[in-house]
Amino acid sequence: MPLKNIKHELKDLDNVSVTALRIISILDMLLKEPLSDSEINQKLQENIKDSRALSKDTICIYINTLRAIGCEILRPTKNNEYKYILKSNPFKLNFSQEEINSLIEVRKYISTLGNWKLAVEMDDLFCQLHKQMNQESKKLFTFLKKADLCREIDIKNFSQDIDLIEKYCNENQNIMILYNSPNSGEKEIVIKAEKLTLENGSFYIWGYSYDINETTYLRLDRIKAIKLINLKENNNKALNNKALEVKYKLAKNSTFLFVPSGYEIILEENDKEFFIQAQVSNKFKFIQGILSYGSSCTIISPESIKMEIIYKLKKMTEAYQDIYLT
Amino acid sequence: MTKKLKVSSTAYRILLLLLHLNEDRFNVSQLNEIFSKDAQVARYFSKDVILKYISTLRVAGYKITKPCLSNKYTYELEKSPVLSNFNERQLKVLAIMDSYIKSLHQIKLIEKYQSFLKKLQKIIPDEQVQLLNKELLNQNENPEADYFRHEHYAELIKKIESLKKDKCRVSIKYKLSEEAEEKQVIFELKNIKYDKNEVYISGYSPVIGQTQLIKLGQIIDAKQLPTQSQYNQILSPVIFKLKGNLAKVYRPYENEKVVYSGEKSYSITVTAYIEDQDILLNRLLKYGDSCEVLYPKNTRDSMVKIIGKTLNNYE
Repeated sequence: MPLKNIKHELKDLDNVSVTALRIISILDMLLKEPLSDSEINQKLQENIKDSRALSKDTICIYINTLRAIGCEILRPTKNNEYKYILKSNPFKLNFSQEEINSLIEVRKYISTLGNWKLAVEMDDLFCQLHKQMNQESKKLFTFLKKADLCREIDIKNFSQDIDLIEKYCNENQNIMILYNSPNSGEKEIVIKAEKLTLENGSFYIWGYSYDINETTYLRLDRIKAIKLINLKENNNKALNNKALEVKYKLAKNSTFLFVPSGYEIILEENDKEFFIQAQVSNKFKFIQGILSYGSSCTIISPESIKMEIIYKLKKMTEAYQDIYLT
Repeated sequence: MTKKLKVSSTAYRILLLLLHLNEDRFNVSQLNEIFSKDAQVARYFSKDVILKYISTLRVAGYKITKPCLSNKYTYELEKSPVLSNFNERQLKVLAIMDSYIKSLHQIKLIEKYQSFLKKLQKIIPDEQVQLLNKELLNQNENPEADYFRHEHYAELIKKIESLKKDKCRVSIKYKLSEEAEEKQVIFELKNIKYDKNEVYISGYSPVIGQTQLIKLGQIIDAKQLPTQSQYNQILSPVIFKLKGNLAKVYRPYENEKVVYSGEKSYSITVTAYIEDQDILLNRLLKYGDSCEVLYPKNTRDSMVKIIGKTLNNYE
């Protein structure tokens, strides 16, 4: 705040507008705290030596000048101890479309890296930046965010503290989640919390579900409530051997650049193919991944997964019977 | 009719000046334009009057640059009248973002982020600016960070960025794999796209009449052609139907529109303006029998072909 330590003497103020100086001084004071007429007068005289006391009407004109420029200042009333309160000011930053675009591009990139923590921190920073933007920049920012980050779930939609959820994951706590499922409505799900992820713009909590005997993942923005629970010892035994070992081969000349994830290892490779072993904790997600590889991928074992893939592929052909028939 | 507030005209003009200098830098004639366009002022002033206004702001404690050749004879406010505190973590995130932007190797993005940071520093208290500068240095020198993923493409990205700037068609030679035959495509460049492991260029191929993506790792050579780009805004539409639970929870991707929602059995129809058919089909395959490609026929045929070939893997 520029006027903080500046004291002026009237006789030195040549070639300046003393009225403007006083009004800027009032703005500076109101940015720090609400003030009454007499407090404004007293502080003005401290800042500008030899300055005469101002009438209430003059102060009112000064306040109106600040209002005219865009400051929102509440009237002094009994309720606010007859003080002027600065609610908002127009001194915001103006960013160009390309500057805002640079922020959006890096946020988009962080999403592709799956770095959920940094994504959350960036969204928090974006909220703070949004407050500092002028109306035009705000509009531009909202528009570009909506267009280019259309799939990103806004952290404002989380009803639960993400730091606390992270803590539960780090401690592998048993938690009961009240989940708003799009299929079955609100329901309680008990999981042993494992990790948080960011995939395709959505934040998920992963954990072992005692009900379905498999690792499951739930969208954070659908979670209504979470509470810690104590489970009996025998329930915890269900956790043994939860991952299913699957072997598959993937053609090297496919459109994919295969990089093994944490649960996959390359057993063998030749000029044409990778032979991969995966520890599958969520069958649904794994099968989705295998299907997306198309004809580049073939399941080797176990037979149950192989049959499931064949069944799904046959079901898929049903929609295209017109082509098959011709 | 709203009551007109009684204000100090000179002070209003000086505050108006402060308001605009907070947003950008201006020379005397630009400031005069601002005055003339403002409903309350609506007139021009002599240079001396404007200098008096600037002088008042300086006396009030605002640092305003002196106009000179290097700043194109403009006035610029160094610090905003209203400062905002950012916490330590937020300052660190700003520095991490800077390093990630640099890791994308696009000069324009890097420059624009720098100019964003410069503007932002106007509203950050000096001690926090020092902290931010320290973090920027720390992140730039952080060898453990994930900032070097695309370093091997740095030169190619810069070349493509410069080709894109010239808005000319380019000839691209590429190979799908080391053993594969060399291919050549005439391309109207659109974007550089990144994912976790790869960098792609997207563009329109006027010869095949489709947009497509090419991995930078597959490019052998890219040359500028003398023909101007004409169609680089064209994206090919693919329409597909989703049903069941997937239709209920589906969130459209960039350049996708949900055009129809079925009422009885829950289904939606999505039009995707795609840059690469293969990438879309790989995603749609993931949806299993909850998805059916409707249009165009050649994309529908491609889907059928992929499903058939995949089934053949198990015969």
